[in-house]
Amino acid sequence: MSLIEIKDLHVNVNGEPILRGINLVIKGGEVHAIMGPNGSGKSTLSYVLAGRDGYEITKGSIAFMGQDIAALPPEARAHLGMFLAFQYPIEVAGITNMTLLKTSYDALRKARGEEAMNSAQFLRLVREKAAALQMNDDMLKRQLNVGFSGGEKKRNEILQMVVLEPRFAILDETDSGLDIDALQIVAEGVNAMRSPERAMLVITHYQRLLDFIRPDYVHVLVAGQLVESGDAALALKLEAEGYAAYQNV
Amino acid sequence: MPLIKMFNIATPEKDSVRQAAYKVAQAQGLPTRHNEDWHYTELPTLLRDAKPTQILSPIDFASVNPYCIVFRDGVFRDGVKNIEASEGDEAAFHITPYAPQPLPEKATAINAYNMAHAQDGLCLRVINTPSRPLEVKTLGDTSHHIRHHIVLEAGVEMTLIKTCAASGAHNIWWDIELGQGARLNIISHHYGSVAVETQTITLAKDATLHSTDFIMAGDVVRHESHIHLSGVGAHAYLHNAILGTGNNHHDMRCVAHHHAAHTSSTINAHNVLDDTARGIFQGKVIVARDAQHVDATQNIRAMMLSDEAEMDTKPELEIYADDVACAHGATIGALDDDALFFLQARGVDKKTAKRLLIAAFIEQVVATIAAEPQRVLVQNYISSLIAETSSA
Repeated sequence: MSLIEIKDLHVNVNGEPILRGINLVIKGGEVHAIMGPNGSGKSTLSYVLAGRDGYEITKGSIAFMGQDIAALPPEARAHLGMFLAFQYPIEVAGITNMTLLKTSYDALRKARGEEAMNSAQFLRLVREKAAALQMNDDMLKRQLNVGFSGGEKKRNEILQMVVLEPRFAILDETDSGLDIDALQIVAEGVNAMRSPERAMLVITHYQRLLDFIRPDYVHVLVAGQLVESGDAALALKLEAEGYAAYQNV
Repeated sequence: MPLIKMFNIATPEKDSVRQAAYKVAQAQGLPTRHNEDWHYTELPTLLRDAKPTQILSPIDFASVNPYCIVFRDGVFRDGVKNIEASEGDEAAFHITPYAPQPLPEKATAINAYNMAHAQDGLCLRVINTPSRPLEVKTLGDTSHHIRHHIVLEAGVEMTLIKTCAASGAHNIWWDIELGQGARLNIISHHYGSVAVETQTITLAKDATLHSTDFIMAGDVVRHESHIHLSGVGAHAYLHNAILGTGNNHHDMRCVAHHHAAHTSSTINAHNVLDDTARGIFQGKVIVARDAQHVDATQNIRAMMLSDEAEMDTKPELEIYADDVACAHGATIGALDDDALFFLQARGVDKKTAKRLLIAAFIEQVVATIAAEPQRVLVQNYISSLIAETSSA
């Protein structure tokens, strides 16, 4: 069964058409990559999937595990098992990393009708996952992303993902701002999450990330449309040739 | 009876100190907006219109086991025995009976009215570091004035919790002196329906003041602090928060007077205004001519939750020395949409996400309370206060 099914999706932002007829089906176990030049609509796609205000669906549909989610607020989509790793992670002074993780984790458990996990047990779980991403206790205690480097912020997004264990994760330019070592750590974290029940949509400018997270499918997004799809080899071709061929069409 | 009457009471003819104070008060009259320090608070009008109302239950600090002194309706009610019988702390406190004192020169009208009418107050010398915090509670439902005088002798460290939860209008005056190397932590929290509170705190050499002041609620609350850094090496950390809802009028004024070199002050204010509430924060740093190498910062922030709420901020500098580092800034904004979406995308419902962000904004003040038990009590109180009052 498909986890997510996007049909003829048209989206306006401030009255301007940005996505112009996206069709995409992602099944459990699959990793899809979307590549495209600046301004092609990559981030719009990630925001509209996550349910951000201000992204108006003018036509088409988004179904998650068979359910139309277009009218659901972001939290309801998260409760169903969707996750967005932000391109620009948010800084919030006054909320620690741990508090954010616990609040999110408990919110998801509550939505599933489960009790909140006790704090000591949760701390053990987070420490274990954080260690795999080479994040220490100090980072967990710090205020959310405040004073973090670009790479630390991105690692933090991945930590949230591995703790929350979504069914479907969108990684919006998770590679930007990462050096090669951090990229490897993040990719290992992502790869460890791959399973037959879980799917991912990786949005990126560069082929480099896809050396570490091997996609099953690669799609090219240009001017709000998926203009070509293929396997991992397509990413290599894009790396070599750029997007010029598509933009001149 | 209009509240303004509390200022216009005849003083006993034989009491020359109070008579003199009352003359000074009457010569000036209650401050109006023509007085620059009261530019945003027209006290006579607010007093005329305000009515005493029900107030919130304040933070209960009983679990940190403070020495607790209670003033009800302006007179001492309870607590001195508690201090005197304190095990291990017998030599910490010395209390003397209240007596009005001649006003200093250039006393303000509020000071003079307070001196003329206050019937009681805490006159305390802290001789040795007490093992527990001291809490002074202001309670009662009739209009009153109170005047406290606290001296921390050299090297003494103490935490003072000021709980102002009287439903009657009140005018509280604090004179606090910190001896050489003394350290005072203040947690002050206001709920009063109509309250004017003024504190003058003088720091001798190497003394440190750490003050967190909260206006949690109240129809009209004016909180004014004058911190005098009189000794070399004195430091003041002044963190303030206003939580205005409904039709509240909350006015904070915080002035750091640097009289000596190598002194520092930090003035931070995080203010949240909802509904039609009005918040005011006036911060001022004054550096005297000889006070070189002063480091002073002011940072005033406001979060507006409603289009009809109002915030007035005025950071000011008055510098007469030439080798100082003084910074000031003020920002006013709404809830951050990006942060709201982020929390929702992590599964937190919108209502809870808003409350979390409001609490996070105030947390930046709360987090400066060093003692964890006190800090947690304040955190929990503010979280539930936001949950109850937030229109979010």
